[in-house]
Amino acid sequence: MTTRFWTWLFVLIIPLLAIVGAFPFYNRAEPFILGFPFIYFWVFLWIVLTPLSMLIGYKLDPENKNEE
Amino acid sequence: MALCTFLILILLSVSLAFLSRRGVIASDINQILVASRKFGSFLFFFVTVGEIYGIGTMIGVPGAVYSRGSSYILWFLGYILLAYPVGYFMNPRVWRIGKIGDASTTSDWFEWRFASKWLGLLVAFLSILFLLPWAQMQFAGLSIILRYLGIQINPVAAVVAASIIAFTYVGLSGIKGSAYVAILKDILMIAAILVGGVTAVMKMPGGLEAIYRTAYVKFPSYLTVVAVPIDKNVTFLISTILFQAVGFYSWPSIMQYVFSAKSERTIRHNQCIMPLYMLMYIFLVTAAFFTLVTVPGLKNPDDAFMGMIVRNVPGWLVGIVAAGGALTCMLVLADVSLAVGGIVSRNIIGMFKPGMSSSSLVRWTRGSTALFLAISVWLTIFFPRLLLGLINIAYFGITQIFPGIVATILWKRAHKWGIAAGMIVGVFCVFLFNTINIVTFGINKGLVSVVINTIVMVVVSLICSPDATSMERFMLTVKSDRRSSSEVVAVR
Repeated sequence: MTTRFWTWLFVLIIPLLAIVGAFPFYNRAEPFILGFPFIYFWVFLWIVLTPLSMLIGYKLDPENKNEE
Repeated sequence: MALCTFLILILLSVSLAFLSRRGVIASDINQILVASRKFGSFLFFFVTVGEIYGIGTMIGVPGAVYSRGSSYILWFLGYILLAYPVGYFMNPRVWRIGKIGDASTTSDWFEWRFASKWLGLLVAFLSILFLLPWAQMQFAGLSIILRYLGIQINPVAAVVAASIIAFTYVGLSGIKGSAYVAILKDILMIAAILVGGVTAVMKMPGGLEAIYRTAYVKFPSYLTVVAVPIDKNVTFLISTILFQAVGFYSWPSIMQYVFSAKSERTIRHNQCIMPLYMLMYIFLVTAAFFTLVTVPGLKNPDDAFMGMIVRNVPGWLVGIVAAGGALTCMLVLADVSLAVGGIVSRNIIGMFKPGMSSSSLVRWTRGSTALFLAISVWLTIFFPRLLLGLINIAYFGITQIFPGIVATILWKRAHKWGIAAGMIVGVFCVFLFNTINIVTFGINKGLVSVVINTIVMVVVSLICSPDATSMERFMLTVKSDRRSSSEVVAVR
């Protein structure tokens, strides 16, 4: 069976790194981007990027091809 | 005016519940509890996403931002976001085990895997115990909403009315009724929150950036996670994020929703889309900061969102916002009651009277749902403060089921005594940590309890001699779902 590594990467690892791993990096107010302090900009951005990343993982998921 | 729109929408929600009865065989317990596992993407999305965003979202989150700033809200956003990736991997397996074991409740699920009615009973007991404060919290949220509508309503009448409405949501067609109402509730909630955020930006001279810049000037420590003292805060933040992200899935009603999905693929896809619902937090947080800079020094942080709405928005719109909040409370109340109803009928009564017909089960479910609602109402009226203080315990407590869930999915050698021991010890720790002050070096106490729970579970499982049935059943769940349904039925 093909490996699920890529699914794990895109679905879990990347968002985990972005939210928990990168925390010391984004825990700041400046610079303000699109009107938001950087910390909020980052988190709000990842609210959108996480689904995208997860969908990539979903498309690459061999388990989904197993069904039917 | 606000009251008008409010009541119209409440009425609409009840009609939706009645509408959902079409096509539902009211005596089929599978339909009532898990919609015969037929929910496709559309309904499944609304049902699952709605469950997660309770009244805590609309009132609690802005309140928290208002009183505590980013240090709190950040872990909140973080854990919710990360819970979806976790669910992507976990929920399909939960579903698969549920399907093979024909489970409709968390209790069923454990009972099948370990072939142990007593384990099922323990889980049933813990579920009901910890769901009670949660139900009561919905009444509290509702009373807050009603306060802003400015109506003088007898609190007892309000609570009773709310529970009757909640009962109609799930008493007629079970979870399908809940799903229909969830659609309306989600539309209203989104509208409400959009109104809040947009109003904030419109009313602030200088717009969006001005809100945050002003906040930065007036309350600089609110904008970032402040490390004071450094280690303790960051440790607590990260451990709490981890704890909550996993504990998310311990709620009995969440498992019930997972069971209602059509396939593992539906679940995975759903998990990918669900984070988008969090976009509403952009509006909530912005509205909260707006209130912070324009009305500092509010005595009650609950005012942060609803107060702002009432002050700045036309009456009929306030009614819509209030309806969104009220529906949320009543829907969560309904879902929790249905989960309890299912547990009581299948796993408690069912334990002493096995082989009950489906229609009996439905009658027991309905009855227990009503009884649970009645008890919550009674407690709310006569002991309003009691259970609210227990919300924390409720959350920490129910999460003690989580190690058991993971072991059920992943560990062949897990033993029923191990799982039971782990849960009992974990729950004991939760109560202990709540009464005695134990130093945990800034690590979230719930997480500590879960860790202890896991250790106990592993040790006890290994000490007990292996149980053939539960290992067999584990092997069934690991194979890919290409088995024909006749093979699966034979095993049970």
